[in-house]
Amino acid sequence: MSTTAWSNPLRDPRDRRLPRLAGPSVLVLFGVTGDLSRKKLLPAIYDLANHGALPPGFGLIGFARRDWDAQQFADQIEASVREGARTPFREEVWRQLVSGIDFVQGTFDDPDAFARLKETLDRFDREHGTGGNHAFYLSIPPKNFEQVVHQLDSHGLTDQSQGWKRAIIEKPFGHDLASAQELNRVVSAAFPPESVFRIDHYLGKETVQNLLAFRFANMMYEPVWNRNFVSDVQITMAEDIGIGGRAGYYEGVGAARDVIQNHLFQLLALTAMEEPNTFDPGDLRREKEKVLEATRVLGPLDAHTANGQYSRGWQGGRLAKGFLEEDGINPDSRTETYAALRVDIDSRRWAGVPFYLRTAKRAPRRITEIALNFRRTPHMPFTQPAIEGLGVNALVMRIQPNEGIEMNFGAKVPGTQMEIRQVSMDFSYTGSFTETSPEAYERLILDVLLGDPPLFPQQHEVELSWQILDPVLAHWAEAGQPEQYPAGTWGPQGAHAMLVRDGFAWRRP
Amino acid sequence: MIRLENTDARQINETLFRLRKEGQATSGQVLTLVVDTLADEYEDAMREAQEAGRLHPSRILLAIRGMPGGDVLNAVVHQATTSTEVVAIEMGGEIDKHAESVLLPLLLPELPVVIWWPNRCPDQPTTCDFGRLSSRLILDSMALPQSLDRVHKLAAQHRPGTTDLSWTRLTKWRALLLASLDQVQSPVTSAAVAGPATASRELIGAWLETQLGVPVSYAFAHDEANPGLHSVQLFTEAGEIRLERVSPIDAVLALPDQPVRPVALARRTIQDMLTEELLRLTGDEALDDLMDYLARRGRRPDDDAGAPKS
Repeated sequence: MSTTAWSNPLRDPRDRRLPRLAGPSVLVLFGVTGDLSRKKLLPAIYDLANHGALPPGFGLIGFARRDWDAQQFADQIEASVREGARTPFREEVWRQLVSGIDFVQGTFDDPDAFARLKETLDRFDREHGTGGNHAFYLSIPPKNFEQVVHQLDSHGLTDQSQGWKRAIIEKPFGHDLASAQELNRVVSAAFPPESVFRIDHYLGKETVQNLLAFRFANMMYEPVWNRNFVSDVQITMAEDIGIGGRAGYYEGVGAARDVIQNHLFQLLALTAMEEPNTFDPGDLRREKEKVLEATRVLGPLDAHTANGQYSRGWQGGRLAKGFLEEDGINPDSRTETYAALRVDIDSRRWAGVPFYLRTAKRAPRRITEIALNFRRTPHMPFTQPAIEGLGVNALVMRIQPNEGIEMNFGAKVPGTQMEIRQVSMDFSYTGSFTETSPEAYERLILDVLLGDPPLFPQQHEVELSWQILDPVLAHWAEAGQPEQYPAGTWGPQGAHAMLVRDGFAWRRP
Repeated sequence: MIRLENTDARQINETLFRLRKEGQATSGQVLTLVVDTLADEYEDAMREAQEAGRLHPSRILLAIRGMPGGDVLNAVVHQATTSTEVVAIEMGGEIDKHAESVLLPLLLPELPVVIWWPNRCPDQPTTCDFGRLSSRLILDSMALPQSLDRVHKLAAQHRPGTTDLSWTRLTKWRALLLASLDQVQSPVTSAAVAGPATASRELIGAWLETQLGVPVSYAFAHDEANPGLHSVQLFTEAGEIRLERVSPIDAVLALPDQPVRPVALARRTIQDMLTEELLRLTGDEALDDLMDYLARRGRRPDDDAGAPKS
């Protein structure tokens, strides 16, 4: 039964009506009792089943320390699904899914548990026809990776000779360049590079792909998408919440590692890259890598970066604690909750255009957006009072919430006077396509099972991102305490001064 | 709800514009859906179109044809609750004969137009009055008597862009058969389909014939409780694949050397299928090929057995 020679005569690439359907396979979930599994992964798997994207006989095996049997595990899944799934709970879909659920009890250091996992997988291959196709989702802390990967390897669970074996890992992919390389060494010891899927759930979001459609399927925007028209680009990811209960994770990590290294650099790459020859994963990745290779932070770092910590203040009508007062945070912590930096891209398209990236906790509102600000017209045939109300032309791609595209431009105010004022034209994806978009994890899990990697960053991209960020992190480590900013505001003074020096101002998103 | 008696397209347009200005939603619409129905059967269609419109913000023009009482043109403009606007237009007499002249000014600029015949079918759908407004046509031969005759007639005059909900009904069946063959990975030597002699049975049989290039046998099977297609079998060198409906929401799937297992196979609602169609405005090459094949093959000699009489 060779997988390469077989071609299913019922599969027809022109038959777009049939759902993208995963082949026979088993997903093994490590860390099944964690938050991510309960809130996102398990509901996403049900939603996929509900769409008919999972084959009959699809296997889902949980692995955890908890003393459960398959039935208890299934009950837990059902509870997660009923609470978190996007699509309605349907008995017949659940019956189909539950027929492929099993649970293996054990700890990561217990060889017997992995032997039992092997037996269970062998049984699935026999009884469900899953053909040795196994995906291992490591929803566990990175410090356990080495142990788990080693156990998988030594029990023959990563043997690619019969079916495929894939590993799925979550960000953070290390905390600097050196640790990212170490992590890669561990995982690639057992899995070849094309079998490692790094999940950045941001990349599974519809709008990130919409960004590619927007740029490369339309004629209108590409002619102005360069230094001749664009004055500066601002990429923002702001959250209105604080660190909440995540002190243990957040302390020592901070905003730049948590958000800029992965999400914002990926958004930067998609915004700034050249057109790929095709949307093949290789072509797409090559363009992203090229633009990241040309990206550098501008010195002196004092002038072109800023960091901060939120202090006690009013956020949206509620008094919020300062970061240093949060439970589990060291009162002397230097971990930043606000990070901003300027990067420049050495290319013909972007030379001289600053890209400002910022991320904040306890900002006034939750928003992720990419804004291209345009230059002023070279000549204004209007008097100064007439254009007093005119701001800059801007094209904004809003990633969340309320995904959409906004344009700001000047329009004449009706009346006998010539007076021009800034207006906003807003396109909302949900207004035109109200079918709820698939949750990012649905898309990503299906892509893993199909072996379709265009949305997954590979090791080289991860390393390039760390290379850009490492000098900034080193600089901040030496610089001392981050500047305080009151909760509910758009960041510290230093961040505003950073743009003023360049002759710009942050957008108020 | 605003009712306009003895109206015209200009007045309908002005009413739509006024409701928009008053802030009754409507922006970001993606298509115009024209529903061609008769006076006594439009209510279900209107509800289904509106439901589908919740997922695809659109302007829905419900053409209620054949109104009695001479040259009638009345319109009811429904206030939009989502981004979808609905106008029900009653037409009778001479005006009915020129119904497309009423609709043409009401189509949204540049956006796709979809024509849907929920429960009737013109003899020449692609060239009839409404068929000329768009190349995207949706029919449902299963809603018509003698659907088997109908699907063969449609195959003979098929144009890309026309779809039949009888085909849409089969998507889940086809996906399950494809997934099964993925698991079994063995050449298929023959196949069998069972159910009432309807358009759906004919289409899935023809699909297997073209994709697999093997003989397919057609058998009559009818179960009061579970109307529609009953089962499909694929005979492979490794054994038999059997997909059989057991309830309106479930089927069982048997694969060689594997336990028989339940699979979800809910009968699809019109609204569900219409939503799928509106998602896909670019036509369906696989269906075009299939209709082409059906037109060449023609009817099978024994396929009258079990055809619903009417």
